[in-house]
Amino acid sequence: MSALLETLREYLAYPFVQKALVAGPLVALAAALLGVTLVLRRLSYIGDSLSHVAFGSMAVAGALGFADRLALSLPLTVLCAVALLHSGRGAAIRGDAALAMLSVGAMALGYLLMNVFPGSSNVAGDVCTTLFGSTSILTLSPSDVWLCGALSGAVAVFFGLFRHRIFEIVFEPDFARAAGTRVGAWETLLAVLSAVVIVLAMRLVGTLLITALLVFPAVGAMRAFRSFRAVLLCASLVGVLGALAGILVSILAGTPVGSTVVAADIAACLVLTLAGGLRK
Amino acid sequence: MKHHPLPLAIGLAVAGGILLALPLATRHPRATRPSIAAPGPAAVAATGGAEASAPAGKPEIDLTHSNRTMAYSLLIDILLDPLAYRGRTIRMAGLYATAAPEGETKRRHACFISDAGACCAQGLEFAPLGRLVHPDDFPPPGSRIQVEGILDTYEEDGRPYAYVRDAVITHPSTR
Repeated sequence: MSALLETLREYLAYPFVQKALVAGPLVALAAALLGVTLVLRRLSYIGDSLSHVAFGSMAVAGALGFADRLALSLPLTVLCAVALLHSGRGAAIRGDAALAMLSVGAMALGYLLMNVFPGSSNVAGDVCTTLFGSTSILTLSPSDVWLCGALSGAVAVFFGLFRHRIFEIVFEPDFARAAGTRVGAWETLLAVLSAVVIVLAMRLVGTLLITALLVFPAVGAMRAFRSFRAVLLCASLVGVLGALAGILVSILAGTPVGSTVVAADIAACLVLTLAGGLRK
Repeated sequence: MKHHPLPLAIGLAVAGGILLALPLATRHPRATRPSIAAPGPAAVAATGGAEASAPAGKPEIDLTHSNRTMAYSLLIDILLDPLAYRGRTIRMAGLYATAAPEGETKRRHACFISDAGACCAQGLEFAPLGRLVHPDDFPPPGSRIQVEGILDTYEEDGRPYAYVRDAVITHPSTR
């Protein structure tokens, strides 16, 4: 055990590990909070579709020679999020078939473009890293960490200040609209935040595993708690602790970071489900 | 009797964590204890190089004693911030690759290591110690080698790139 702690102490001295341990939990926090609203609105798979759109748009950005691929992938993902999540009559994309078409189409075109316009000599490796986030969280720049911190702080403050409004929009949108709340604007804001969090969360768990970051903390919290406030708090805690535990286990055991974080979230969800079941 | 779920959840989580930690705690010390003597790049920058403090024969950065996730990530960090690691001794093991880029007279040599998922591989260029002649003095490309030397940088197109200078190559078949 002392050897393990000594190893951990030495690894924690490296700045890239410190950056991962700061940025990872922050992104997981934002994802968990947004995941609660997506799960409650039965839009859990939206995260998967948006992450595929982000993957495709990153490939397009690479093909067009963008130095910073986020400059293209972020606006495109936001546009798709608004189109998917806006529940007004003017919603551009509806239905599960449309969702599937967007998701698969973006993934396929993205992979095609990465092969036709490779950004490096190791296309398979680039694709694998983007899809599963094996070590991307361990290769962050200081600006990446600041961006994650700013975004997660903004999401946390947003949920803290407007918890009741979000509750209204999630559970009683018609009542909220009748009471004068600009539901469309709030939904657009939630869609934009979801898209931004998903694009950033790709660095932590990869494209294919983002849904886990959104869903498992939320579902686990809902199994154990009844009030909206308690669910938000519990989901946040699970998200943060799951990311921390996943990153630490990954660097100690030499496992891929993304899937280890998801495994930690699954474990937490199971524990909460068990605890909620025992409570009854 | 109703029980609050949070204490139960915490208790289950602690129990689960202990169960998960046991296999890690009982791993072979060689696999879990990296031979990384210095605390990190910041200390190297402050002291202006750690060659004088490193014990002879023991590299400051030993990727052979780190797991794949850490070794790969550390190598990426070296490549992204080469100036922070300049002057440190390094030992790494991986697959040998060589190429003679078009338009260049000098042949380049590299040692590649892969990440935990074995889908990504990253190489670090090295310049061998002494006058070695390719291909007679080098192992076949793709063979497993161990490289030990001093991290240094060279500039190309205005950017610094990391490489291992005075590299001593060990190939299992030549031991």
